[in-house]
Amino acid sequence: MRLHAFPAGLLALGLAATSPAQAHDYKAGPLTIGHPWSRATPGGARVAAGYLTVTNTGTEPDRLTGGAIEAAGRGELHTMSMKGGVMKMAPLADGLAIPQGQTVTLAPSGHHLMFLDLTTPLKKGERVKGTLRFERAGTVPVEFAVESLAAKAPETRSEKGSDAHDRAGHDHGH
Amino acid sequence: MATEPRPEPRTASPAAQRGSTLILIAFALALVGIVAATVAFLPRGDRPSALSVVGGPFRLDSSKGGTVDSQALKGKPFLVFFGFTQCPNVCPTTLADLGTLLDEFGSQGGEIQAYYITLDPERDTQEVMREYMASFTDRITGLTGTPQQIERVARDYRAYVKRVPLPGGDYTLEHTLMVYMMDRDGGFAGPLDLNAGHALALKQLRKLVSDGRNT
Repeated sequence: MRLHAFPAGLLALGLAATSPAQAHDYKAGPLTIGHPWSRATPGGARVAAGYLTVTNTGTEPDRLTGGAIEAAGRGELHTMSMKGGVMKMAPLADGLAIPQGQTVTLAPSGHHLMFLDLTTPLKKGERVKGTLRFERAGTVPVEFAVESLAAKAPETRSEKGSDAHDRAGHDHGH
Repeated sequence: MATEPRPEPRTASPAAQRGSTLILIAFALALVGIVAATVAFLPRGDRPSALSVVGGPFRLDSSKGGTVDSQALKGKPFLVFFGFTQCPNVCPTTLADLGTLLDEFGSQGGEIQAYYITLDPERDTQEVMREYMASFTDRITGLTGTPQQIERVARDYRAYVKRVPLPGGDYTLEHTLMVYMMDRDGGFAGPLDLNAGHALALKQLRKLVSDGRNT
């Protein structure tokens, strides 16, 4: 039967069948991209956000320079912070350094991808196709798991110890 | 917080270092503004008057159609917060979180309305607000108006807002992300704390509704 003839096909099938809560990783040379995720968008929303971790296991630094999803016109790298009850925003014009031996986290409370000119609303449970652009590793195709409208963290984490915000009872492990 | 990204390494390019310095300067300047705003929020003496320094009358277009006049809210405490629909991170999660909280409060017999005032009136028309707010509980009403009306209400509420240009020619907004608890006289009764868990926030709401005013 076909089933054992195409392990790669099986793998793809397995990926498509997983729930968005299940962690998913990508390898691009020395980079490991951990669980790219986004959030369901409210009615008529024109923007969405993208979050993930990048671990550089190589010996050279790399740089994340951008990202995109098919459902949006374009993507930009931004950084957000809360200072004294004020949300501060700034574009990361030079991208985001991914130093060798380190894990960089894009999360709601910090660096993130902002997708503009959204053409299709993102719905919880979907996976949306997209890309990440790195200076060295090039363009890497990924899928963003769409979490609930209220999600402040993904339902599961793919990187051990990268985030202490795992919500009790929602950690599906590795 | 644990989700804070690691700092850039010291080997960052001169351009990145220059960028970081600029960002630091911007933060420092912003901090001065925030401290000033925080001082403005502090109660003056132990008898805050109904004519509080935070808040003021408004009459704005409602996401549910028609207008909302703060005069009509007299006698009932309410909540106010500011944002905009093209806000990818904290605005939608705050709306969703507050919505869940208000519904929880409702199921316990409490009733309070919240007003989400856009700081981006050029893009957030009444129609945009109608569609957007439909994704959240009915207990939150979106409000918009003319740029002048929005500027006025933001000033009255001492809400910080700054337009930040984006590389692609668009813009985003930096703004105060606080849920204001307003008493039955329209006076400021303090911020609602959504970060310490719903139990505490529900306690704050119960007190606001039972006291009615900030005395």
